[in-house]
Amino acid sequence: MKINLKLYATLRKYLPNTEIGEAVIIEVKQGSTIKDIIDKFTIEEELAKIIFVNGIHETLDYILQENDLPVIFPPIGGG
Amino acid sequence: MINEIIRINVSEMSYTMEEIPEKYKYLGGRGLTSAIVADEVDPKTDPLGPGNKIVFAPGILSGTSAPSSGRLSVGAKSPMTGGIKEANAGGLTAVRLAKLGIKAVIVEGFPEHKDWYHVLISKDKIEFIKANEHANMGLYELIEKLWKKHPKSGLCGAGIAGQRLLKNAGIFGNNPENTDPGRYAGRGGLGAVLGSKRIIAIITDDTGGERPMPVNEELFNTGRTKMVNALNEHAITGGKAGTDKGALKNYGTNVLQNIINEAGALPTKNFRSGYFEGAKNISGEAVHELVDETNEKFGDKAEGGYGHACHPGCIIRCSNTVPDKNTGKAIVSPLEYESAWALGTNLIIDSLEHVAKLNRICNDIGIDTIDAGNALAVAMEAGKIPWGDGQAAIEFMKKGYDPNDEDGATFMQGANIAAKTWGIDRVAVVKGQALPAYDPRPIRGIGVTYATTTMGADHTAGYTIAPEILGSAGGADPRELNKADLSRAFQSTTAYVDQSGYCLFIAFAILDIAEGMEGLEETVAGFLGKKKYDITTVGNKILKIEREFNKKAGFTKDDDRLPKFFVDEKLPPHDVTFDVTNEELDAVFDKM
Repeated sequence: MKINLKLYATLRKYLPNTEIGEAVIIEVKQGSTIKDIIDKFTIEEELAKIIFVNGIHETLDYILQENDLPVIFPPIGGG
Repeated sequence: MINEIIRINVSEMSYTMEEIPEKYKYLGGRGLTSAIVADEVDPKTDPLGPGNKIVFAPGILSGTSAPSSGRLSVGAKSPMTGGIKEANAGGLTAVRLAKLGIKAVIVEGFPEHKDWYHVLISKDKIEFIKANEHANMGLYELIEKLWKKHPKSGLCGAGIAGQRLLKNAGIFGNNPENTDPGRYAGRGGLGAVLGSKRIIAIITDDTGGERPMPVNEELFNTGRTKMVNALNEHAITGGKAGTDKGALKNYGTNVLQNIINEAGALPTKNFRSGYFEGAKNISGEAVHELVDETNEKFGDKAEGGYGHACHPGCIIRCSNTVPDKNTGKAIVSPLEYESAWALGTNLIIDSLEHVAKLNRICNDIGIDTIDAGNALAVAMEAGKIPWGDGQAAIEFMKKGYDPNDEDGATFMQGANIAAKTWGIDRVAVVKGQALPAYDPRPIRGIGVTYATTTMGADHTAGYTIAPEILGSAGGADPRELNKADLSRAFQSTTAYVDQSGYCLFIAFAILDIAEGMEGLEETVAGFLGKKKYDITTVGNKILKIEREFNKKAGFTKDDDRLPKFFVDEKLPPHDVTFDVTNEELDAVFDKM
């Protein structure tokens, strides 16, 4: 199935040649979790600090549905 | 070194230096400004009249070897809120004052003359310098002129807006390189209070000064090591600019632009939506990439940067400089998240160049960016500027330079007065002060802080975004409605941090790393020579003093509420309203 993925800040390097905030369509197996995605991209777990799926906070064990939009940030802060 | 309080009396054009009284001995920063304002200013007084006083106080640890501790607090009765106000900033002044042994500078009285003055503070000496030729001058030009005569000095003061007593006037401060007056104690109109005293700049020259030393060096050093380690270890405050590690050094505070957008909480078009398609173009990532690009293209001539320190001794280094794409020359430093949001997203302007230029005008003219952006949104509501038109917004803002332009004067009074003047109902303010860059409908804790803080709408007063969005301290659900305890805890800890001189951003590290939290108390207690200096006890005490002042000024529970449209109007994309009950809002102070 297809999902849309966005990576921000220092994680942007895992989606080279994309614009900031660009959602990339990727193909994943039914039943895949966020953890499966970060493993696929070899992103360290501690760098996948903040995860939204369709704008709602989720965790690494979230099971993806068709057309979901997971967005992953490393540890960030500001204000 | 004797710890002193300096009183500058502008009625007499005289000054006194007195040893700090016993009751203020363990105070600094916000703790000291709020105590002095509460003790000496009648809460009912006209903020721009003879009864008000403006107080400048370095934090307890400013000037010491504690990391990131050089913040300056400025306090007075606010012309914007009508309540007590403390605004704090980096820059040079706090460290310079601390090295001269000065705990506070109080400007009081009311001049009969119509001249303008600077005040020069140096070792054992205060001078009044007539400065009529510097009135109505842009602040970039002013700080350059002042450094020619007083090199390396800390500068802070009132710009054009403050000199004209307009209520969104901030207190500017020069950055360590003196290239930008953008280190603002911006909020609440404190620049107008200084302007009412006919003072433009306070110039602090610390030649001959010395580093303040802790009473209990051992405890201080133990705490200092813990704080340094926590800041360096933590992924947000540590790392290194230009590498994979270190959010603030690489992207600055504006790293929040994209995440708050993805959370559906980025106030867009005067708080009509929580998502802005153009946010990415003005985000911290966009600034970072523009800096890299212009550095490569213009080499030595490039002036853009990130990982820059806002005051000497800062190891977090979240400041930046936005370069011009075509020349590599600096447009403004810094561009913070709140400013990029207020002058960009909330006006649906997504040109980084326009946003940076708007911020530069704010810095030059002497106004707070958050209220300025909200006032521009009101001007857009009133049809004075087309929505999303960055160039038109720049031209509108330039009206502020013309003392005879009514729109210019109105917008520099801040969003609340602009809305009243132009007949616009939709204005996002609490206690007369405009909301910052997080919509309270999807993130309820920050709404509780906006509503209840003594300062008027202010995110820094109790930054619950850290747990609600950024996962700090184990995280908190942003939609949860019972947020009084969370907001109170953050407001209290913040008051303590604002008194210490530490930058509020130490919070990210100390919330997650227990040793960092110990380091906070140990450095402060060690410096003061106390065994303990409990964070919650001391923080609550500051809040109670401020709350009491506001009560006497006439504030009631009805002032601890958000504008009605946040309760009534659903915010897309998540279609949520601000559902926190009034009882929950009241519980912040009732249960303290």
